[in-house]
Formats: sequence, structure tokens, C-alpha cells
Amino acid sequence: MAPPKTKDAPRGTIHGSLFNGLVTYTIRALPLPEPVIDFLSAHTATIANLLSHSAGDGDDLDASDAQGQARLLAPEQFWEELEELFKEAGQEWAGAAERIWAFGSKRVGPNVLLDPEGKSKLRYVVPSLTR
Amino acid sequence: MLIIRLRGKEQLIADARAKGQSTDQALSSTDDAVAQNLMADMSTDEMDAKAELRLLRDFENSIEAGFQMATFQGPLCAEPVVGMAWVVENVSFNKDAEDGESESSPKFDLDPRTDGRSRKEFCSSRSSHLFRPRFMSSGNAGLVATNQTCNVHV
Repeated sequence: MAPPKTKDAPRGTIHGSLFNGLVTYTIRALPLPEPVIDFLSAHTATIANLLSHSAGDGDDLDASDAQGQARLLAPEQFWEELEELFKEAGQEWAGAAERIWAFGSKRVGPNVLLDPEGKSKLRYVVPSLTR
Repeated sequence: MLIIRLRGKEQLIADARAKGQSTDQALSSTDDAVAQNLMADMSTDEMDAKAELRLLRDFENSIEAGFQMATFQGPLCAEPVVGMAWVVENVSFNKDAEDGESESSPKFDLDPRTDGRSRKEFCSSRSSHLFRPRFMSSGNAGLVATNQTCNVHV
């Protein structure tokens, strides 16, 4: 396996900056557990329903299922099952369901954007030194 | 206090609806709760907090848009990515550097079109997706076994 790109950080971590250091960021990429991928792939219709519901598009749960899709789940059921899968996947993924920021691609795919673990604040505005 | 994400919002909406609110009411009360949750994290006075809230919301949208683009056209042959998680460990905005420099010569080039580095990186990553010679010539690097037949008529 190739050595990690960034030293002294977990595999997959990248530090970067934009606009000459105006914004700096740290992002870590890691593969999802197999059962979670399968679950997300099978329930794209549920996720789409979830998102459109949040956008105020009404909440008809009887929307027609796409082909090859599992049946539509209620939001609570979806999150519970997802949390269970993450829990089974190991310590690293515990509580990941709470941290999900977005699904992708096209907002419903089997990839997730996550908030960092155990951190109450994701963003940080560098405090004034001159003021 | 944690940032309210998808699941938290979903619960808030469910709670509000259980109290007999309409979908629209539930959504607006959820938005209020999310804004208050964000505000509570900021100890500065209200005007500053509001400005920062707006700024952070801008960042969030940009990050999410980047995530959607990156998953839709992945690094391998621009195919969609399957089964990846990205953890945004940290984003920091160097506000004072911007404030301090704006009066004198601008240190930060805020127009992405003139930011030579990111533009170059963007172009190279786009054009290298398909026919990068190294990738094609390496022989053993393939996503799937090629499925081609060739009939030779003599």
C-alpha cells in the first residue's frame, strides 16, 4: 500500500488552503463499510423523499418506487437502520449517522459528507491578533 | 452542542408535526432552531454572530457543492464515486488577514478566475481524466476487464 500522503495524520487526510491561506481546511477521505454502501444504494428513493420533504415539497410517502429499489422507509426507520449498520461496522463509525451532512452524488448516492467526530464546532474563524 | 444535521432536522420536523403543526410551520420552526443552535456557539455580539452565520452558511453550501461534484465525476475516468465518506475535519477562515489587508495592497486574490493555481489544477484534473498516457500505457491498470472481440478476415 502506498504511504499516507500526509505525515502524522490518519490515512486519507489532506490539509489544504485556498486564496493564499485565507481559508484552510482539513479533509479526510475513507471508504464506507460495505453494508452501508448497499443500504444507501438500495434506499436512494427514501433519501430523495427525505430531502424533498425537508424542502417542504409535501410528504406523500406513496411515491412510486424506482426499479430495483427497496421499499420506501419512513425517515425515523431509515435513520435507525443506518445507525445500526454504522454501529456494526465498528468503533470508528459509531454515531456517524448523526454526523451526516449530505449524501452524494446528486444528493442521494452512496457517498456521505460527514462532520468531524466529537467536535462541537466544525469551523473556526481565526481570532483577531491586531484588533 | 452539536451542529444540527440531516438527522437532527428530521427529528425536529417530526416533533413539530406531532404537535399538530403544518409542514410549512414545522419547517420554519426547525430553521429557527437550527439558527439558534448555531448562534449559541458564538459568544460575540449579535451583529457579528449574524455576519459569521451568513459566512459559514456560504462555506457550507460551497463545500457541499464541491462534494456533489467530486462524487459525480470521480478521479477514475470521471465515473461517479461509490462508497466513500469524506470527513470535513476542519475549516478555518482567516478573517483578520482579510480585514487587515483590504486597506493596503490586497494579499488575497479573491477572484477564483485569476487564481492561477486553482485554475490550473482544475483544468489539469479535468483533462487528465480520460486519456492520460501513463494510465493508459500501464497495461495492468484497468477498472474492468476489456470486453472486445476482433475478427480478422484474410
